[in-house]
Amino acid sequence: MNLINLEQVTKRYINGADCVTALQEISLTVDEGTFLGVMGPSGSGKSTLLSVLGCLTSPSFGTVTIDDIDVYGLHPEKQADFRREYLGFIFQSHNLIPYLNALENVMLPLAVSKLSAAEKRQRASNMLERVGLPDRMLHLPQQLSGGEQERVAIARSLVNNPPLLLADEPTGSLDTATSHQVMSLLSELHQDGQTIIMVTHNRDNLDWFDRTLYLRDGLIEKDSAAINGSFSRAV
Amino acid sequence: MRLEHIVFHNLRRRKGRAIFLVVGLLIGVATVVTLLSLTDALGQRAQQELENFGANIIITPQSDQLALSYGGIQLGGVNLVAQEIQQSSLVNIDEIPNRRNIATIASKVLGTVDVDGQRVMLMGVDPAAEFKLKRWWSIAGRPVQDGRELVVGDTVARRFNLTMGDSLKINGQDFIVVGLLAKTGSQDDQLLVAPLPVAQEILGKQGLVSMVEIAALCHDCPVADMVNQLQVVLPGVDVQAVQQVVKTRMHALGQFRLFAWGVAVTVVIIGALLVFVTMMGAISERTREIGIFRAIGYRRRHILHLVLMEATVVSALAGVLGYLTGVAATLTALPLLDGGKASWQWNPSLAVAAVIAAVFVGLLASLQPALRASRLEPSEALRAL
Repeated sequence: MNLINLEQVTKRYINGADCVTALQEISLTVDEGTFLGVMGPSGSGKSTLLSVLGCLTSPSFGTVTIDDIDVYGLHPEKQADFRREYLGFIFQSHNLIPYLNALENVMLPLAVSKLSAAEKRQRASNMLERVGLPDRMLHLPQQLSGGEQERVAIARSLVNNPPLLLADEPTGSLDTATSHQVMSLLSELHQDGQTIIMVTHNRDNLDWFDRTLYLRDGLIEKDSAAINGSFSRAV
Repeated sequence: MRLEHIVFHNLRRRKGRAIFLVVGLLIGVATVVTLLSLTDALGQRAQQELENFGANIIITPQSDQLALSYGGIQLGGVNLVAQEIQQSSLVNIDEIPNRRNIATIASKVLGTVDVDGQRVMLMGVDPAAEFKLKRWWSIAGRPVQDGRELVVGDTVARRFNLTMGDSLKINGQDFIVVGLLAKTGSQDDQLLVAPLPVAQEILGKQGLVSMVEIAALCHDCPVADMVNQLQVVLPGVDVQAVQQVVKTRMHALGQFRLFAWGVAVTVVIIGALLVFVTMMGAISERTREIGIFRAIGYRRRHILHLVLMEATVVSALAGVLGYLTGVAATLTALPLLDGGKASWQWNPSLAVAAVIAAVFVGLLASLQPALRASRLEPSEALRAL
């Protein structure tokens, strides 16, 4: 079942007289439960694609449908609600709030929900246990290692049980062993049915994905799923 | 975990900025509280002085003729035969609506008496009221009480070479000098002061008074209204307000109050600018953080809520501390300004107003930075995504 559907999505950045096309008429469908890796050189449009999928950057043209919802047809405040309910973000630099401990960082998306304080706490601690940090809940980010911070970020992205997880270079700043741990964790989530789209430079991660997309100059250069019949726009 | 939780954690983490903001606003609030408290205390003190200064309403017998004296100089041997006021009619004063504003009623009878062949002015007074009214009188000895006692004006004392305990014959009756009035530079120097009933008897004016001086408590008291009210209950007399003194004092106080407000408004504007600049800086500093909040699904109003709540907490704290600092500064400054005569009184309205005003200024100054923060697009805020 399709979770994501991009139709003719183009994104242009205009800066004065300069116009940079980051994405060119991308059409793409992603099935529920897919672990999609997005690869490509710098400037190929990977992060822009993730931003567009994450309801963070509106496309210049085209439509983005997630779970049958035209996300850019929503009012901006509804887009915020959509991000909270449907999407989980894992940033390259973890982007944890430095003055909140691990538990509070994980509870952050729940701060604006109507759940009780006890329920918020329970869900956040469950999520930290799931990512293997039951004994680090009260530590500040600066007291955690890079890998632990990444796992806190993953726990935060999952605390709302979002259908779609978007990860931007989650292993980019980690050593090989820690990268492996993080990828194992993401793989476990995937095996539990989580849909994940992950941008990465690291070719070592290829084996973890069940579908890989190669971007170049804003176009899909290669889509591993094309062989299996999934639609892709190859150059 | 609620938004308030994030606010308090952020303030705790960025203590330096929070303290800077609190101190900035605190100075503004403290300055305003100090100036207003000082104005209030000095105003009350001036009011007391005004009341102590003497009468501000004078009741005299009605006369159809114009006065022919100025500054104590009688013109060309003109003698006006003054009428008198019935002492019994003065009870009507209690009937006026503003009777509670009346602090002192000093009735007196005036007339001339013969002392060693010379004509001297004798003034009969109600001692309790008169000596309360004329606080500037400095008496060596004591005020008259009752019986045949005299307080003697400086000029009269020198003319007749009188000292304390001397006896003086007036209209053939013996009086004892119990007090010597220090030189005042006014007509009082030429008086013999005796108790009212004794003077009335000597002057043959039993049951009559020549004039009445009234001290009204003028803090929000309408002297002009009181004059009209007295005129109604005391027909056949002239009632006049000594407006010059009142107006001069009130004008001076008004000028000081205006100055205080001018300084207060200036300081508050500077405080607001400081909050504005600091909050703008804080928003720039927190751009990435705001981007994260927006990316994980915080609405714009949630961001607005975060920034304004932070401003509210800081401003309320500054309001409370500023009020306390202002009170401390007032208590320190008052003795220096007024020789310790003025006293501070707790004004709950000022305390509440200080906190509300601080929060209002803090919120107003933070509104633009908060709006700016709430309008940040998550993609822009997270450029480094």
